[in-house]
Amino acid sequence: MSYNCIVIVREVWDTRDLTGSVLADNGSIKDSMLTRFEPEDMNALEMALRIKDEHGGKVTAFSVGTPKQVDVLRECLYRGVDEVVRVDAGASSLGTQAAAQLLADAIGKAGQYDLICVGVTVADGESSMLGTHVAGKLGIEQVSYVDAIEEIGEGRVVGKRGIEMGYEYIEAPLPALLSVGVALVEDDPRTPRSAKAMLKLKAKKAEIPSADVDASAVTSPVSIAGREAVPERAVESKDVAAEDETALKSMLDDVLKGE
Amino acid sequence: MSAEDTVKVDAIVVGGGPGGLAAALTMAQGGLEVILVERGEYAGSKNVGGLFYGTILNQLIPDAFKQAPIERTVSKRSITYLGDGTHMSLTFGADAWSQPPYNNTYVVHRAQFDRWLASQVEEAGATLLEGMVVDGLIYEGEGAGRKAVGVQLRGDEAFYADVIVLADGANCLVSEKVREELAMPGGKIKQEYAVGVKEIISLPKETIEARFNLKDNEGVAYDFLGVPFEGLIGGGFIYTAKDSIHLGSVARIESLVESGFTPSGLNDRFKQHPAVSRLIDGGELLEYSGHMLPEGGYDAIGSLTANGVMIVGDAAGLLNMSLYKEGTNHAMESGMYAGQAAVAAKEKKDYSRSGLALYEEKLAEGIALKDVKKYKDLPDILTSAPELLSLYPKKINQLMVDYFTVNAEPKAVTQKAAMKNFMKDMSKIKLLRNAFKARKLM
Amino acid sequence: MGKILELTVEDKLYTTKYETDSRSHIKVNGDLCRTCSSKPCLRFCSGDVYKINPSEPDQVTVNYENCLECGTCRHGCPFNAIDWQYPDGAMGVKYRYG
Repeated sequence: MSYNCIVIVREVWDTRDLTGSVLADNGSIKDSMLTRFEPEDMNALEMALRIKDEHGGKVTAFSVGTPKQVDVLRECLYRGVDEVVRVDAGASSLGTQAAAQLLADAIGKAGQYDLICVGVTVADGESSMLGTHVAGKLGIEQVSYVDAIEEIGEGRVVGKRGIEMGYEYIEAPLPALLSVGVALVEDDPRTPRSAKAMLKLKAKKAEIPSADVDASAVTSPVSIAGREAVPERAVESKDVAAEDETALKSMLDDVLKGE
Repeated sequence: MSAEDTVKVDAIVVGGGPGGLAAALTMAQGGLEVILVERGEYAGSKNVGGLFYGTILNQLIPDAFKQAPIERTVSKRSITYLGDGTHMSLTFGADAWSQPPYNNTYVVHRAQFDRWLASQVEEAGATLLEGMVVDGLIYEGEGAGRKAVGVQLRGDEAFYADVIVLADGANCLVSEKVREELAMPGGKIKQEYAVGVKEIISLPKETIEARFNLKDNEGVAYDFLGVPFEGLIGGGFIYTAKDSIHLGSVARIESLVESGFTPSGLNDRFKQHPAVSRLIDGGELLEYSGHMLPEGGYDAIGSLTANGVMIVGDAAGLLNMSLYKEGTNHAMESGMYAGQAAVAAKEKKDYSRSGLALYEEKLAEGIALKDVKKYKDLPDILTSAPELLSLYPKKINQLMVDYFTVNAEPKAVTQKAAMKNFMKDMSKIKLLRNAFKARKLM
Repeated sequence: MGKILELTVEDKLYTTKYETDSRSHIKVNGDLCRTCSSKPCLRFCSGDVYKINPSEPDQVTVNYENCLECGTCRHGCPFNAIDWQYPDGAMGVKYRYG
């Protein structure tokens, strides 16, 4: 029995090791800010690819909007998905609800599927609930924090979730949407499964089809109404020698007093 | 690997800096199928620069300066001799430099600029493969007929091409290997290298404009010599970006090792000079970077063409390390010629060394090589007359201090004393000889 | 972080962005290091990669995660004891300004 899996992938700001101000004078995000393939979505992609490896079938990746720096769909092709679909977001940036609606429309038109995988916590805070909303709009079951697939078959999927002192297993009927957690990730998914230049070349040259959905039909009443910078708090750094117990104590006191 | 999986294109470029990008662009515009392989996650991610001369850029992409991510255009240049608590500058600006095309001199953040240039190259039809390492070339034939036919990628894959342009920069592991494997004749002298470090220091736009006396998008390129670099073949620079400052130091590796300074420590010395520290006061470090520069000059440039191979840019040693510090533009010029030679070679279906001879012919007629040739004695001069970079600047500063010191003596007495002090420890013959040598620095 | 004039090289490297690989792209030949008394690698490296091994003072440790990939060590080591290769694709230093 083979399975058709869908993965939803996102390009997000790379918020690691930030230095200096993120915003330019005009309030937009600076050119020096990099983006990356949302690593949690990459875990979801890895989950789908493993199902394909084990049971056969195909993996299709969906992404909303035009790429800024990293074309996550081409990256998906490079990492081994069979098909990709770009969902046009129109001119403005979308709220979570609107993006979910467009994705649900596009997925609904893409034919039969068994499983949708998506990363659970996303650096772009506002879109962390994207998977949940897509499931809601498609009318399918959704399970959060699925860290691994334990079993799939006979119209059901059993997910494994790491919990305090052990695991729990969650069963859901297919088709289902799984928000993929990170508790059981063994390998760093950043390392491509097949680091092949050939695949990269093919991915570079591939035509990326657009979903047949109407972005203008989806209104997004949520938008960023403005930005305000919080003045930076001046922090006086102090050097305390590790051997100097009195100084260490007074530093601790200061910390406890909240100074 | 099955036959249908074999990748064979017209040209492969190794390295996504300005040289490789110019080559790829020229070949793509000439109708060749081109793959450019870059080891960084994106073109520019391994590159460090600051001052960018855009004559070739604006030739390859008309009016590129209007769309490229340029931080500021350079309207003012200066050379400063730093003494012990003193400084002496020669500053020059021209109104015309504040008008398009801004004297073709720009300050850029290379990581962002190269990435933009790469996007232009992709638009022209070349395929960029980023995040892929070329470990060496693949050859066919033996002896004089031995030719490069492809690149060996890390991870046991190979791509094939009729011609390969090596643009792997100053730290050119591939070019070095290929030179050996194809027995390409080297230059008269061994290539020499300098190491540079740079700090990008953030400051409010208004502060930069006030401190450097700039308006709108005007910027400066300041060069520094003297006491912080005493005993070194090296110097420092400051370039103004929009809301940050590039501040860096460059020194010949062997002189640095002798001095006992680390590259970062040397930059600290430069940064802490009172004439410099006030320019960056209150700034915050955004990024620290390091890079190498090939400084052997004209005599270190070897053969740049072999069967199926051309070497361009820093990997070819095409850097003018005089006050112009021109590397990127030379890289682009050599890349452009290599691209033109590849297009011509395709028409003739001859990719042998003689088939690609057009590259070195064009290079010989062009500006880059002529400029590097003009300064060919520079490495020698700097090594043989270290006074030029240390003793004389110090002396001249002292002369100025003595000359301008306001005291109760008559001016004639002050000036005579100043001159006497200036000539102390200075060999007149050596001074004359060095003055003659110094002529070649300009 | 300290004031701009007082930054240590560690402070500076903290601002540089890296994609750190799990294995080193730099190998040193410890037998050669043993014979080297001047250890110029402690000074010429722009990224402070080479440091004295505290438990074996005639050896150096290689903090390859700091490497700015300038290549100075390939030319500065008098014994050619440093084998420096390009890090794997997309790994290593990643300049945002450059």
